[in-house]
Amino acid sequence: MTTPLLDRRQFALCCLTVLAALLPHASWLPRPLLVLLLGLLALRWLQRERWPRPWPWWFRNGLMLLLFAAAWTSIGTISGTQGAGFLAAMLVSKLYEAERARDARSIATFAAFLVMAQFLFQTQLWAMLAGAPGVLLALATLASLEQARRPGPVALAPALGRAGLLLAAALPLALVLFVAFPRIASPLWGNATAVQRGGMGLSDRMEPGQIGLLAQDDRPAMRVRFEGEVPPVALRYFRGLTLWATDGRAWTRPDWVDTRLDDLPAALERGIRHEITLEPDAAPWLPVLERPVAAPQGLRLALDHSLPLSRRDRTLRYTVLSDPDLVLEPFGLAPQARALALALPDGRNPRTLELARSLRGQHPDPARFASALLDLFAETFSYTLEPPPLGLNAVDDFLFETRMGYCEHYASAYATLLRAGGVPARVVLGYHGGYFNAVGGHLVVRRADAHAWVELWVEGRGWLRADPTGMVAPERIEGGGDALAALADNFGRSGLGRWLRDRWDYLDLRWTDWVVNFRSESRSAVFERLASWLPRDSRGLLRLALLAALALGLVTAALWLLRRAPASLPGRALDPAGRWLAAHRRLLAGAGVPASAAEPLSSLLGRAGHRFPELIDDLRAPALRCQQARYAGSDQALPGLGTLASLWWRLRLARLRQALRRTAPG
Amino acid sequence: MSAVPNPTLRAGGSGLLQAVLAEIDQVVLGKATEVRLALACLLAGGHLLIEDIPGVGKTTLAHALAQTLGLEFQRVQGTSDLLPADIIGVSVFERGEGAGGFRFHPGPVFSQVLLVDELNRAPPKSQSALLEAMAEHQVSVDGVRRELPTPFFVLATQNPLDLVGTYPLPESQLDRFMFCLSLGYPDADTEQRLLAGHGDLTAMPTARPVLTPVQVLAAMAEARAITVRPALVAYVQALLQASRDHAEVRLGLSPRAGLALIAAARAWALLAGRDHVLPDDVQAVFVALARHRLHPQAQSLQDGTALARQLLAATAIP
Repeated sequence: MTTPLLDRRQFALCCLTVLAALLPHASWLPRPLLVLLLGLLALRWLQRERWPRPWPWWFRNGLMLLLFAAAWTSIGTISGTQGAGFLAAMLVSKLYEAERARDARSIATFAAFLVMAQFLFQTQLWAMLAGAPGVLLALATLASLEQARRPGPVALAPALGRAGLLLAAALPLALVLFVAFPRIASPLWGNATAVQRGGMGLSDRMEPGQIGLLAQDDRPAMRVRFEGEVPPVALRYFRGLTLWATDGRAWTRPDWVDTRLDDLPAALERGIRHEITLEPDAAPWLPVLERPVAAPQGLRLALDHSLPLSRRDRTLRYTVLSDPDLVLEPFGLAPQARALALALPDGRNPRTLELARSLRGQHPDPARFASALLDLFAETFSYTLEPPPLGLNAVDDFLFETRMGYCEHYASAYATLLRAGGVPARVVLGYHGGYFNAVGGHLVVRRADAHAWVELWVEGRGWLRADPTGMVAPERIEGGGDALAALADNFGRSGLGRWLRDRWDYLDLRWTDWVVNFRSESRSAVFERLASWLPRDSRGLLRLALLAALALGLVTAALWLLRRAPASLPGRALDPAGRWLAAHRRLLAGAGVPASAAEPLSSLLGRAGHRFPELIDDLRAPALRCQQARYAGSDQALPGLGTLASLWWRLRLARLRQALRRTAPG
Repeated sequence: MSAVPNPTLRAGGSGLLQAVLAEIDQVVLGKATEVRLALACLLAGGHLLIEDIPGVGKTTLAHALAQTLGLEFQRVQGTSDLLPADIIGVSVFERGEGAGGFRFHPGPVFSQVLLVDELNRAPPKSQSALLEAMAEHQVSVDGVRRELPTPFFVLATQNPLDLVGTYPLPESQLDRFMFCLSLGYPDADTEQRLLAGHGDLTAMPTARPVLTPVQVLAAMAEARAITVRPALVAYVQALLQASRDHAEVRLGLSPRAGLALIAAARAWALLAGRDHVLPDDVQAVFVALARHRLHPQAQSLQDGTALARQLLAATAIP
């Protein structure tokens, strides 16, 4: 019933386990909640270390209420993946009632679960590595509980060693299961969802200040492997979505644009074939190099040649053929599209409209007009990561007041100016730039490379790309997002930092290739490769042989373990009557009549009879029959499991009745 | 008197043996457990060592046991000048009318119940003569082997406090006693009854014979026939092993102690009217059986009794 109290070291190990299990979640947990959790963890450890008596229940419960209130305010939901924040809070609160070995056992299990929960958010190599200490320490906690059963003090090093040994021993089986275990094609929880503002990359909406948040986010967004030469920086525009509708401030995408196109058959031979490996990301679209000719297998291009994702898709790696010179809709826009590409909200940005109309008066040719507008930006505008806030007439404010901004400011202002001047225009959201990783031979595009530019439609030439940001900050266009993010820090852009980063990035890509994206197709590929030396018609035989080898291995291992098990292992070599009696003993222990293994049956039955007077005959008779069989060698029929089950129920009922009687008034 | 074992000995809750216990309990007040252990020891064919201070009823117990079982009783007082011949007997030359010559005068050892008071005051030579007789159930005098009567039950006492001028028994000889008991002071009620009941110090309370020696032998045979199943043997072995593994025990229990444990548990089961031995029986006799055989390590603060209790509490019944 009561397991031994935890000693100092075991408790410290529990605290360490919780700390290590929180570690992988540090990247997404709201900062204040994280600090609170760590503080409570440290407080509990100090308290038990200094004053080894539990706090009064009301104080502990008060603290816990506070913790859960804080978790609620900072997370706001207990459903969905963010519920993991509550898991973390629960784990820390469990420490506050942890006094005994039983509690440590649940903490270790729970901590392992929390470590696993991080894969709802992140699947990169570092996440895997960050989870390792948690699992190791959880195992070490369990090992230290085992240690305490033997005489002598509990030591950390053997516990850790044992945990490492267990992990190492589990690894081969984990590998086999990883390869051989069937899995469903899409995960149960769908796509990872945006967790924090700006934390998960681009969305399908653009507002001033949004991309700026990403500018210092150095995490990779995707990696691109080109067949052949890597295109020059000026061509490395990765198309995301086109945004059409504006309210003067934000740009959004109307649904009809998602109408899917058939592949363009003519252009299939020409272009740049590239394979993109996407990081798990919130963006509801797949970025592709400008301009995609054909959609990846199983997907369809939308009208605007973007690749929006529907809810069910979860493609992280895809191959696309792109042709930078592809001309889109040169001979005319659909009336609906044209109307939308010219629409502006009523009464917003009056000064901008006026400026555009006067300029258009000077330049009747739309292309001339566009380049005149671009020249406008070259004058007194400057580029900054922290633009001043803008009001409702965001474009007016930006063009005439602040004149400082990031790419979305320029794209938004430019598109508004074009539309005001009667030229159809749309904003394109995507990535631009990226740096070349020489180790892996691939291009790394980071979240900081998020970019927005404009496409304007000119009769006969179709949609033309225009990037007003290039007028203000040419280095942004020539050097990619790096040039600006360099404001933030320099590590990783030269010397050793770069060397390390390239290698790590390469490993991470390989991890994504081999582990994260390992699906049933890859599994079949592995088996195919294994089977390739066999004649074709004996594949079935191979499968059988594999299964047989696996079964044989398992049986051998089981036999070996059984042979090594100590003879005094409880439950070993028990006769049926002895097993029944042991089950009976456990049954009574579960019903609140604990028994030491050294207690003879008569004394146990005496105590049970005292506790459950109404059941004593039913408890006694079958047990005595077993005892007779065991010690007198009588051959009467033994009671079965049914008797045990019925006793279990009746004991539960009797306890319930007793509890009711105690609480009943009078 | 019939030589056929009496089948009613065990039947009906071992009626006759219960009567024996009841009879002794009337004489030795408030010591039911110790009396039961003493009787079990006798029925198991063992010998009993009582370690206690003078005046708590050791002699009374031996007397009552002998009387109720209808056995012949003798006593020897252990003193520093006690000679082996004082126990075993001596051959004396007799000038007689026709057949003169040496004639053996049997000592007190030729009795069925022998009380040896203060055994540790007797010199080692006499101690070992007695213990040899106990072990071999015979004595050799002048080259002639003489069988001892059956049943043969030795009840020795020792004073554990007054150790000056004594010869403590070596371990090998302690091992020959199946049980070691201490009676201890009676509780308040019992003592008042005792004080009220006997005005005369010199008068020994007497018990009524309930059994005949033949019935006692039959009961001993019946005890030996009681069922012991492998599960119980495993438990006894686990106890022995635990005594050898215990950190504070210098010398664990020997296989001979294990045999004695099973025999004693059988006798205890007989007294309980059962035809098979339960772990309960083993536990009931274990402390008495093990306390003088468990020798604590020098630095241990526990005595044999405490160690034996620990072993019982720590050994799982398989």
